[in-house]
Order: sequence, then structure tokens, then C-alpha cells
Amino acid sequence: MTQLEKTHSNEHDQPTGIALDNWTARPRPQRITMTGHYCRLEPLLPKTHGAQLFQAFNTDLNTANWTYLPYGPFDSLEQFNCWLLESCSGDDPLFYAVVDNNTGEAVGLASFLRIDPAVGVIEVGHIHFSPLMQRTPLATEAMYLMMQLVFEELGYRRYEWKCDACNASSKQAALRLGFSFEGIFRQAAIYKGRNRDTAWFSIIDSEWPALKQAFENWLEPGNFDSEGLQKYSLQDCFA
Amino acid sequence: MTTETLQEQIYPRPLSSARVTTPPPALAPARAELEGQYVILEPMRADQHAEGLYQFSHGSEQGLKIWDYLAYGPWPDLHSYTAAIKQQSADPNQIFFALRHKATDEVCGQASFLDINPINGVIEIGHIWFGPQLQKTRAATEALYLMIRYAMDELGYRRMQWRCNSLNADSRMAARRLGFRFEGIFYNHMIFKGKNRDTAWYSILDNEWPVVRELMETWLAENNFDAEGTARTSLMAMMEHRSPDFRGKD
Repeated sequence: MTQLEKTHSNEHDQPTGIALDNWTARPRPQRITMTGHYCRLEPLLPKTHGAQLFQAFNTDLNTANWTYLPYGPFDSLEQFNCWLLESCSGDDPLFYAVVDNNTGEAVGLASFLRIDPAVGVIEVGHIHFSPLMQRTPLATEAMYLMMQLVFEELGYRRYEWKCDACNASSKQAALRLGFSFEGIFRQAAIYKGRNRDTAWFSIIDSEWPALKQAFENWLEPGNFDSEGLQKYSLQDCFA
Repeated sequence: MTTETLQEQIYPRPLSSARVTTPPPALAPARAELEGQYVILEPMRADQHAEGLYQFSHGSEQGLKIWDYLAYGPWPDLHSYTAAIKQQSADPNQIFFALRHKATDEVCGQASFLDINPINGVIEIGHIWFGPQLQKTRAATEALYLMIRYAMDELGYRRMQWRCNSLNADSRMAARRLGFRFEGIFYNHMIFKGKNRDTAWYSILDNEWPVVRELMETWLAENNFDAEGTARTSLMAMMEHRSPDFRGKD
């Protein structure tokens, strides 16, 4: 359905958006553990996860994973823990550690941010997957678990992803995960002394049921061979 | 209102990860008067402006139409409207202006600076409505020109934003006519008056501003208007026919 077909007209014969008659403000995400087959997301606890994450992020030897984050890399565990305590312990952004179900170790970070329960809009960001989970089913499942919470448990209408428009990996990841590209804000910010043009992506509530089915098909253990390689891609599952 | 307006393409400006050579912070805008040839923007005060603004925005069928795409209004009476104006004027994160049309000395519109982010050099103009007396006049164009010029030239912003309901064709046309470039649409972005709102986004960048400014000033010049105040040229056409050489550069 196109945008125009979904509209109504008011008494001035102007098009207006569809009515949301039963809308009420949605709950905020809580500090709960989201558990999947390959990984779980635990509310970030610097004491528990700090050393594990520092070690996991250090397997990224050339620190390329920090390029498009506005902070880091950190020289010592002490500095890293300070940052986790000061910047990652609030309610917005609300951080989770991605824990590998096989090893019980934290291997990545992700958060909910710009949480707006009144209109049901929320963003996933500060995503930092260590090499221990990049390009594994854990990475996809972690994102699936967060989406599922947002759309099914919390009932939000809009799930956002934004990144530096120069960050090709992040843009590809968003598209692979079923986000739609919406546009680019030129000169939106400055970080690490550089201009940042911000690319925006979203999933809206009406898109979720089809995405959910695709994720579930792709994440089936039967989709992976003994080396952990996928038999069919997530894109195949969307088709 | 055309379907074409609502389905415009994102303007293809090049990406940049360049070092920022003239770094912000920009300056925070002041609650101070901005005066042009045709209009004065006065920092909003309920005691001076509420009555006039209420009259022009509630006194006629045409006046009432301004509320269709705003998140608030219309109000049942002057008393409740005055309370709302007091709230707006008390918001430390925005600066509201009442627009005084010099030809009639009447206060018949409003606009504000919002999303003021000096650290990143980003600012927005919004909460704009023009009463029927101000609609499609050079005073209305000049009011927004004065705000943009103040932000870009005096305060040093890198990015001037405009956003509106994606179904509000008049606002989208207004943005383009003022030199803003279309950046995209956020779907399911907000809920206004119980209805879904998809938001259309526009911007003017610091390196685009000199050309936009020149075109605006050419259009606003007194000799561009006949005795009835009708413009001889189309600002929309001037903006749409800007050379592609003037796209954003690193």
C-alpha cells in the first residue's frame, strides 16, 4: 500500500494520517534478560561484563571496530570500566551485554536509546560486536531478540537504526536485518574531529510479522552445517 | 497539492567524512528582535502578542486551517490560548517569535528556533504558521530569511533543518522554495492529534547557504515587486534552477 492510499482527509479536504484510535503510551524496556538459542542479552553490569568485553573487543587487533563509534578505543581495562560506569549505566541509552550461550562470556554490546514511549519510537544503537560474534548467528539473533521485545512485548510502532553514512558495514547490516533506508541528514554531527552525515533506517510495526518469520526460519539450527555456515541466507528467508 | 510533491526524491548530495575545519560550537540564539524591510520578529510574550495571534489564527475559516498540521491547537478561547503561549515562551529549549507585518503593524504569525544543538552546529526552524494576512507575502518569506540568516551568518550553524508532516504539501513546497533540500521521510515517526505522522526532512548546509542567501535577497529586493506587491519572479523557480555545481561539497 502506498503512503497516499493510507491517508484520510479532514474537513478542510487536506490529507491526514491514519487514525490511531486505541493508542496509549507504551512501556519502557526493562532491565531483563532476553534469551535465545545462541546468545542472550543481559542488562549490562560493568562488574560482571567489563573484563570479558574488554578482552573480547581486544581481539579486534587493528581497532577498526571503533572507527565509527564516538568513543574508544580504550587503553586499559580501568579506562574501559570507567566508561561503562559513566556512559553505559543509565536508562537511555539502556545497554545490554550479548552473552554467548556456549561460553557464558560477554562478546558484544548493544543498547536501546532515544526511547519515546509516548509515540512508540525507539532506536537500537551503540552496537559493538567483537570479532568473537561478528558474522555468526549470535549477531543476528541478538538483533532479533531486541526487535521482538520492541514489537511484541512493548508494542512500539517504529524501530530506528542510524549510522555514519560512510559506515558501509553498518548500512549493509541494517538492510540485511530488514530495515528500510529513509534518508541522510547531512552535517548532522561532528565526532572525533570529523564531519558526520547520518544515514537513517527503520522497521515499522506493520513490517514486523514478515520479518519475524524470516528470522525464525534463518535462525533454525538446521540452517547451519557442522562448521556453523548457513545453508540459506537471511535474504533468501525474506523472499 | 500534488502527488508529485509528496513523492519527491532525496536530493543527491555527496557524503563527507572530512575534517571539520570551522568547528562548532555555534552560538546559542538570543531572545532578541530581528527586523527586516517588511517584517519584525519579536520574541514572543503572551501579554503583547496573545490577543493578536489568537485573532488571526482563530477568527476565520481560513485562519483555523493553520492548525491542521500542527501538534496543538486550535484553542476554545483566548484564555486557554494565552496559557499555551505562556508555556511556549517559557521553554528554554526553543525561542518563539511573533511576526509583526510592518505594512499593517499587526502580529499575525509565529515561528521558532528548535532542536538547538550548538555543539554539532545544528538548528531548526519550525512551529511556523502564517495568518491569512501573511500567507504568500514577501513579509512571510522575509521572516524565515531573517531567521536563517541570523543562524547561519551570525551564529555559525552548519546545518539548518526543516521538518513537517509528509502529507503537508504546502509546507514541503515552502521548504523547497526557501532553498531547503529534501533528505527523506521517517515513517511512523509521531502521533499528532490521534493520527499517524510520517515526517519529511529538509536541510540547508553552510556551504549551500551563500547561494540560497543571494537568491533570497534578489527575490526580496523592493524592485522585484510591482505596485500591488506582487513578485515579478518565482523564488521557487530560482531555487529549483540552482546550478548543480552548488550541491554540497567537502
